[in-house]
Amino acid sequence: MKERAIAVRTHGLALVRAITIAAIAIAFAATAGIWAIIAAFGSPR
Amino acid sequence: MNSRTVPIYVADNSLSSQDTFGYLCRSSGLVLLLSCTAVVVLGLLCAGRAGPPRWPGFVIHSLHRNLSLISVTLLIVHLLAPVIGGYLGLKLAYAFVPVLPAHIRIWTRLAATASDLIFVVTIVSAARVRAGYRFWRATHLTTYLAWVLGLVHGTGIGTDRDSILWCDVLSVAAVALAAWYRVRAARRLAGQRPL
Repeated sequence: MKERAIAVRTHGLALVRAITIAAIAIAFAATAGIWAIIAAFGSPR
Repeated sequence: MNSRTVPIYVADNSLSSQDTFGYLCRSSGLVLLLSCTAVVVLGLLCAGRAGPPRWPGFVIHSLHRNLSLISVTLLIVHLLAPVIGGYLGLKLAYAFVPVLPAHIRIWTRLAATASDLIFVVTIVSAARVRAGYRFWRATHLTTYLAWVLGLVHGTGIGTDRDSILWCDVLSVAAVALAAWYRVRAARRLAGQRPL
């Protein structure tokens, strides 16, 4: 029972870490991407 | 051979520092709106005890907290970029004091109010145990107001209006859907409570 609880917690923490890293990457890429579009075309349409 | 200097005209495509930071302000603002929307949606899902059945209960809560920290980072970038670049003569004080100065437009004043609320909520959430549940909850509810103010600020300020309208529609739809789920979950949970 205790081992299962630890496994669930480990799985959850890994999930949180993976999604958080993905969110940081997406936020950074989106900011840089929109910046480039504004610089090239004037407005992100 | 002609010794006279012949001028060479080169197209100047280089960006000024003001442009660079101005564009950073605009791009981070757009991403900030979407990020704040995701935080509000995750908060509503947290309160409604939602989430995929195979996920442990704390995952949505942890994601809500982590994404809100990412949003605060984006907010700091959004506030500092125009100040560092000297974009439109904005000063750091304008980001926090909504009443000063007289020439600043209403949309920037709304944003200053929203950023104040977000920073207060961040500090109170960090000191949740000391602040107490009721005070934490009362301040946390002001994030809905901050989100609406941010939405209105982005739409009203006028730059990138076409793209911001799409973001507005997506954001409002996502939050409305999550709020509807939250209300249903509250009714369901109230029905489960013992009399």
